[in-house]
Amino acid sequence: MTDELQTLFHDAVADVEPELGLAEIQARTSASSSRRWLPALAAAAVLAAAAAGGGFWLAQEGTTNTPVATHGSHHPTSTGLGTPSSRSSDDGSSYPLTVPVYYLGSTPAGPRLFREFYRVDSMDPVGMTEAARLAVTGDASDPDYTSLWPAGTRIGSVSKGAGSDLLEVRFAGTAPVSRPAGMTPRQAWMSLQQLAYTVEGTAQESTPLVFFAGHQQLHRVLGVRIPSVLARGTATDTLAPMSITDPAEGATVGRTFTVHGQAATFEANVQWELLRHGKAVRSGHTTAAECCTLSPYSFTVHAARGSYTLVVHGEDASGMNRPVPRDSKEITVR
Amino acid sequence: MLAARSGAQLDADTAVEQLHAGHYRQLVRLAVLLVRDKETAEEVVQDAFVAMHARWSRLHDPDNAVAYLRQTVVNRSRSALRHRGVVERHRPTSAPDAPGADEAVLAADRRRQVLDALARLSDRQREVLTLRYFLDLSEHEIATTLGISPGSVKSHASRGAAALRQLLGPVLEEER
Repeated sequence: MTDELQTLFHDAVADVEPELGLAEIQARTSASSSRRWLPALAAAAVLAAAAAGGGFWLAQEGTTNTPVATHGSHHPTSTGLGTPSSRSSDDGSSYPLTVPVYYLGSTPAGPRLFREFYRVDSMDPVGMTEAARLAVTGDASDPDYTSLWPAGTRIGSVSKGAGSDLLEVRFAGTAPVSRPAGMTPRQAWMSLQQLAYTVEGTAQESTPLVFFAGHQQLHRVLGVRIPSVLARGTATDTLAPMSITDPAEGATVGRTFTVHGQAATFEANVQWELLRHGKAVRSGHTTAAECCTLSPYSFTVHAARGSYTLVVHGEDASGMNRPVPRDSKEITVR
Repeated sequence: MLAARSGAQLDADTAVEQLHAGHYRQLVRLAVLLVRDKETAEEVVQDAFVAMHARWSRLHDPDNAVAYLRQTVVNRSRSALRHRGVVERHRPTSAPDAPGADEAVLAADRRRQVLDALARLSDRQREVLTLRYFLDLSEHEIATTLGISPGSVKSHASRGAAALRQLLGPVLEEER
């Protein structure tokens, strides 16, 4: 009965396609002249959405080209709310940067986004193009993560629009306008969110995306209609409910190490195990900072040297053996 | 986390644009289930966005804002039904007997029957069932959204589902 009603309710309005509505709403709310996309405020919003406790890198103001954090060693205390760096390339050399790249992973709620960090050599000081390319090519370090963009999808460039303040994603070659056979609408939507989170996270701005093939704006990508702009979905609907930020996949850590991540679970509970040859040699539990919304957790593990699988997961409160959100990393203790 | 969440980092205009992109269609569909007609539904949802914009300094978080929008859409849908006589304009009509009709006609017919049946429930039953089966909210979330007790949610849900089952008997049969 429940499933039947669910199907009926969804089906009953499946053909309702609203008019855009945004212009009407904006016309009624435009009394305040505060312009949108203030970079400093927006950067903070990205941090909030990405759950700042997981550790965000900071593009430093000033002369150095070196990001504060590197893959797997970022730390919550270095969380930067500053505006993106305004360095420019005077000598034509590239910038070594650390960028966040999101990939799809499976969760009990369907595909969700998991984040990895990469060092890239960027021709510009922000690195959005490189980050977007990493997102669509799908070579995540963690084998549980993937990208579903069709093979051959090429990102030409990602840049801040000259007049629009929007982030412009330009495809090179044939743009992936249609949804590939075998890709569900949900997967298509999450793949677009993958780009939105990656690009906005790299830009440290909460700024919607617009897509182009050459000079032509695309209003459909992967079969998803994009009437005007693509904005990030809310964190709770888009990001993985349980993930490990640090250590990264394949990382080497000391015998005492701290695990950082973010979770949105029942009563904020986070269970963890350290597996060696598939057997738990250490285990414990902790709680995330807040219940039921994506918030940071951390715990410290002591272990002997060796190779391990670190697993974190939620707990099944139903008692009905339901799948729980989880994440895992292969790590080496030395 | 707290530091990053507090304060209005995301300004109200940006919030409107982002939440519109992510939630407008679903909210309009929610409102259609409640008020039956699309134009009224869109008005209700647009009003909710305008109210959300005005209230942004107190919400200052997209998740709070989504909950607020949902609640506002439900409340304004109820007012819309009272004040605009939407139910009267859409008095249920009997389904045409259409054997051999093509799939699209059958689907449109089925949709109309479901909306007709919903219009015949009490406001609370319709709201509870819609939040439960369309938005997949938990009993607790429904109670919070409607400002009623979890016990009331339970009884509206079971009576509403029974009434709907009776009204939609043939449609449910077809679904099987």
